[in-house]
Amino acid sequence: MKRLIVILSMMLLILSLFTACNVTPETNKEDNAPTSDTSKIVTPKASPLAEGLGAAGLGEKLLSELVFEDELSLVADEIGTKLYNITDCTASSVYKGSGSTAEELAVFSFATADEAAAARELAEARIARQIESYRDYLPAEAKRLENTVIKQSSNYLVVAVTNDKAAEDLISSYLD
Amino acid sequence: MKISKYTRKTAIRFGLVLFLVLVVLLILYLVKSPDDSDHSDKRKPTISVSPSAFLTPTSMETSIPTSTPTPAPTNTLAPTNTPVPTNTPTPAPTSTPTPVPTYQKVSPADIDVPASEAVSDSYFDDVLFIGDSRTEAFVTAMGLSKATNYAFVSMTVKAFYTKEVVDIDGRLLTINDAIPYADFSKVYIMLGLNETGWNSYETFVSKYGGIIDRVREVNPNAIIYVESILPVTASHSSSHEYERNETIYTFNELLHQLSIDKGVYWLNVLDAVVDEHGVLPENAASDGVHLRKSYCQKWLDYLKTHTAK
Repeated sequence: MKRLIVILSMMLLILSLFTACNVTPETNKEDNAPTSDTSKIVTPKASPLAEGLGAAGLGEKLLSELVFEDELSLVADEIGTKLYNITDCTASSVYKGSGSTAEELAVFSFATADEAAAARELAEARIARQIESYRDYLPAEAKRLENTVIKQSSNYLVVAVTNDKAAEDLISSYLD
Repeated sequence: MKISKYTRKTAIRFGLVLFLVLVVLLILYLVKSPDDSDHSDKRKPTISVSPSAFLTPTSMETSIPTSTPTPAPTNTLAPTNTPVPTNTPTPAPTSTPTPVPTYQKVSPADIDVPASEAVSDSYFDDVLFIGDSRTEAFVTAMGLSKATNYAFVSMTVKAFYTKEVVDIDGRLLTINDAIPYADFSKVYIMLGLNETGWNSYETFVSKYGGIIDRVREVNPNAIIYVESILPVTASHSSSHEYERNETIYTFNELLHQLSIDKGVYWLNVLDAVVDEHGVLPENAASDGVHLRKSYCQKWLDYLKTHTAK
């Protein structure tokens, strides 16, 4: 009888060992891995200077401090975002001229740095299209477009089509 | 306590049977467990994703109207005298001609749009603008954000068919191919300045006429306005290689006649911006061509006060 009790106890012991094995690798991953919830990703903020101004304020500042040959005017938000195909920005400020030059200035702010980085590609695509349009029509403007400053820092994106050589440093001073 | 041999044997047999049962249960349990995802699934929220969520723009293209014009019936479909021997009688090809869209031709007396009470900005919500850099800047400066703006730098009546400039879901199309994607019931066309250096006026008029035909093909009910080409400043006209006001006026005469021939509205919009000499004032454009915002406003005011009944 003693032997039987020992055998049964051992079997129960062995069975009890398997009870902890029914955790799939996925579940383990879920329990132990750090969370992948994007809402918890902390977006690095732009410099306090840009944050304080916002897209509209930064646009106004850059318009007054950069040198443009044509007279640029603020365009309606819908038109500005349509020009760049940028639809997910939180705010925008786009300035265009009469068409006598290819000059323009655009400032966009986004909820996340990832969105701003994705929009940078759209801005590059627009400038590339503009270069193609101007290449045979007004080669000097195509050259100006080739020197476009496109600066993305955290959740801000700035595009400046200008011959102003100080443009890059000036924009960086607001964003970095 | 003494246990009889029978009792001990029975107990051992019972123990063995129990052991075997437990081993079988254990094997069944182990075989089932590794692939069974029910347990893990219950711990996670279920996210149901429709297959359509993975559709790429390319795969969605099927629902977008194609711009390929319906081929017109050709002479090859006409019966010939030479019989073609065939073993099996094939049904005759259905050569049902594509119905020709009917559209309202404006009578010559009504071609020139007279002044009328000003409409509001919303009149332009369902407008398609076709033009060059001047129209592009005009629509942008005037904030006509609901209008479809197919106006681009260096656009010509030839580039209309060949230059891929309209971004439709990430694909660049020619204006000709992009028109079916636009939602419009009125069209304003201003093209011609970039063509003033061309040798052939006939090509200009013919290509321009093709644009009107294309618009009608897509939307037979659209109200079509042909706008006169705006002159340039006197200084620009005298210094530029080919952008001359004389040529612009010649082109405008041709376009006025084309409007009569095609039965579309003619808008002599240059009236809104020229000086007493019929040219663009020097202060109207920094480069002699592209209008400042204040002159774009005059242009818009003209369009608002000259609409078809």
